[in-house]
Amino acid sequence: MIDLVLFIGRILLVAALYLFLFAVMRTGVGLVRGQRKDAAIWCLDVDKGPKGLRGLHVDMLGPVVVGRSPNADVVINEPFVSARHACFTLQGPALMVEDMGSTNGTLVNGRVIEEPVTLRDGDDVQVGDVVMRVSRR
Amino acid sequence: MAARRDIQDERHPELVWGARTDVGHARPHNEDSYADVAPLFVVCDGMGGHEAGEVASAIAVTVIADEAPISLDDTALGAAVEAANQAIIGAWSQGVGKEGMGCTATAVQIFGDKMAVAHVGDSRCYLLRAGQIVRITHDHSYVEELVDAGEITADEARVHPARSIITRALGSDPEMYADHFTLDVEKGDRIILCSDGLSSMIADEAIEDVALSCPTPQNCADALVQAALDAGGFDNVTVVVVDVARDAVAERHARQMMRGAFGVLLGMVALLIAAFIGFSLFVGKSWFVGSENGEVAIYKGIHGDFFGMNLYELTERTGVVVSDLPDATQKSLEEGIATASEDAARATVESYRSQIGLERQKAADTEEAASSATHDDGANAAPTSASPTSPATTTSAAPASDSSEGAGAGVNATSVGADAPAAEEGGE
Repeated sequence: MIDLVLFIGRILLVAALYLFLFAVMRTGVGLVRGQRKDAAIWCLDVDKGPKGLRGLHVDMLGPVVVGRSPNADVVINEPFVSARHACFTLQGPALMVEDMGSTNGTLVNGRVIEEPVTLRDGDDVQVGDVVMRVSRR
Repeated sequence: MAARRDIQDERHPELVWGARTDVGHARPHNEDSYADVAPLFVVCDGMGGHEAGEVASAIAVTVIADEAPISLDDTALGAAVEAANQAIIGAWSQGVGKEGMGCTATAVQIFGDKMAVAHVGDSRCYLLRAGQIVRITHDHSYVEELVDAGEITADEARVHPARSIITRALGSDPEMYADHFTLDVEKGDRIILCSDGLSSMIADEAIEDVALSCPTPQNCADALVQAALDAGGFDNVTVVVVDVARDAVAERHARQMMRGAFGVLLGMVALLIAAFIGFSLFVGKSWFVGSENGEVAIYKGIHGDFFGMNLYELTERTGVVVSDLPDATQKSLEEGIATASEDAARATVESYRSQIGLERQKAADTEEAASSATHDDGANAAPTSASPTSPATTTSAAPASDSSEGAGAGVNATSVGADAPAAEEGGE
């Protein structure tokens, strides 16, 4: 009986191994297929700010968090910027920016935003001293 | 107007849509109709005046919704639009509405990653993909013909005095036919159907700008209608916006992959089971003779193991001692001697038994002969006559030979050599 159990266990192990390989391959194929740079409709360009950030170009392919924290996608190391300051997200084809409860607020075209705002081509988003220009491909 | 939510249908999880219609600033009533019964979306712009245009467009929307195919077929969708044409002509000839009433129709049906489009008149369908808007329908209007001929530009067409003349519409010609075609759609696409109240008010670039700034389809429909109203709103405005929210192709692909993998797995398991059954049948019918703790035994199965599982079971120990057998036989016993059946296995064992018996007897005979030779050294009886045949004699002779062992090894050896042929004769 124990022999039979061991035997079935071995077969199951082999089957699980093949399934794992299959899953890995599929994930790999999916990752390669998902890398489409041209899919970005919106992009952000840093117009004003510290030297290291000026000229920074970000293609919007997913949510982008701006803040002082090293975990942020765009790190602005300035005292007036909160750790997680603002977040850019794609909602359908639209680009939105949301203030994440920062101390000094996020400005869109010079106005402090209270709630998520839909951005248009040419809008300026200001976080601390950094101004980001929104543009469409 | 109350804020409306996006609509989604459980049967069509890949689609999210929103719609809005507005009478506009200039007209007293709204002659536009639309349908949003996923996966079918229709916009119809009626004409013919009060109690005519809205009747025609309502008939068109109802008939198209009823006649629309249940699978991807743009020809059938075009036939549904043509059926709506017949229905409108039939309606005013029966006194419903007014003579001369008519409408445009733009219908799309989205199935997975394909979209069927059928249209007549100047209501448009736009496709917003990767941030760019593309008009996918070709207006049946006088100004569109002028644009095609290169006489005016698209911007001029919007303000052209003859912009409201349409060259094809439902409700006038029974022989009217609809343009129809099929397109690919993918995740993230936004499809916009609109009456000319939108497209004649704002340019395609403005539609693109608005559509790209709206997170949801209902937002987008509202914003587009608002943009048309802000630009003047001289006509009824109707906008239906459909988002392809999920990747139907990838999902179908994934489903197919899963199904394929499952099939392969099932096939493998079936093969394994078939192999196992076949093998166990084979194993169950085979027998072999082997050794078990120095004893010859009969086994059912075959000698060997598979993934650590023994493929045989012990049926019988025969009591025949392996070490009594010749070396060659011992070796083949260790590897197992396959036999055709249980009887054959028993026969093999019996042959071993008799072989051993003979060996023993032969040995005994030899010894007896040797001992008798030592005893009757002088008499020297004839070897053939002296060789005993009965087992009783053999056993009685054995002790005698023991006693004679010490008598003289040299003599014994010579006599064995002399007696050997005789013993063999006796055995035969």
